[in-house]
Amino acid sequence: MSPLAQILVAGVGTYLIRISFIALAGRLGEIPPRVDTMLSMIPPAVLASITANSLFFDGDAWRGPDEWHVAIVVVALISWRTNNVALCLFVGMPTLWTLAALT
Amino acid sequence: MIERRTAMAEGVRRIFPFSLIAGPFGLVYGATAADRGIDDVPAILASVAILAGASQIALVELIDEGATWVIAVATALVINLRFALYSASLSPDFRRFSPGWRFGLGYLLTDQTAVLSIAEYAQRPDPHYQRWFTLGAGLWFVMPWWVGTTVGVLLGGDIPADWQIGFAVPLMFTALLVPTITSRPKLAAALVGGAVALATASLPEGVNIMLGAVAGIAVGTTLAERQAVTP
Repeated sequence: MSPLAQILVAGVGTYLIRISFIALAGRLGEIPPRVDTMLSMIPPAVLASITANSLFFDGDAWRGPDEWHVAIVVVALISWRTNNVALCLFVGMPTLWTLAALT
Repeated sequence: MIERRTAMAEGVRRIFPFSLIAGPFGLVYGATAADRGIDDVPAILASVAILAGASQIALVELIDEGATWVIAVATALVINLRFALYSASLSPDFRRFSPGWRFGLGYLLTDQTAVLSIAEYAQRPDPHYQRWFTLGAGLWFVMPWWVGTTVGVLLGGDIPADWQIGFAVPLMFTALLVPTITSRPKLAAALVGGAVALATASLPEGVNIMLGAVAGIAVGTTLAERQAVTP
């Protein structure tokens, strides 16, 4: 299969995943409280899984403790204390570069 | 009319800092695709058709390595399975939108747009406001992604390793994650999710993320229910 065809198939598949539960939405009845609680746990659980994976795996290789992890702790603390997403994104890369220059 | 513009502007305002990272990350994907010998048009089209960076990078690498198309496409889709969870989380609100809005906005649900929408919908229940918010955020995020991809594909070449541009991924997800932790059960969901994703990291990428997510959701839900019973 040509690269273009593979890309298009992956695109259609990804779109179907994105609309999976949304497509069912019209047929759903009342949302039970338990399901509502479960849905509210999705963002922290998914985002933490992706973050941990990207912090400790470099392709297939385990990534030992280094300046990435220090910088992420700094960013997380700034985000937690200030509640300012923009600030934490802007200081992220410079924090990493500073730490890399120091070590 | 005014309300519509306000809602879109709020979506743009909230996604803005993330959109600044979408450009450079698109550049990384575009340069990778060019480096892996993918033709310009398919490489750029991937950012429109798939609209999910990590899966696109995995896909072009597998194509270059000569993997069978089933393996290449399946790997990309497994990495993108997490979108089903955002879909579930948004479906109670999306069902109040017309089918056109539902299936149109569904296309724009990147991690950033989906997570910001979930948080905003909890504060603002008006469906009219909600859909314009998501449209504004979604469109503002995909544009730099497309521009970055195109520039990366056309210029190709190496981005200096010193820039450590790969750090943009955990940085972006940390910035999304921290504001979602608004209770102890959610903190537990995050800690368990991250730990299980790492413990199962020898499985293909995407599988471990789904296992972490499911474990985190289960623990968080159990704790939240217990908290509700015995305050």
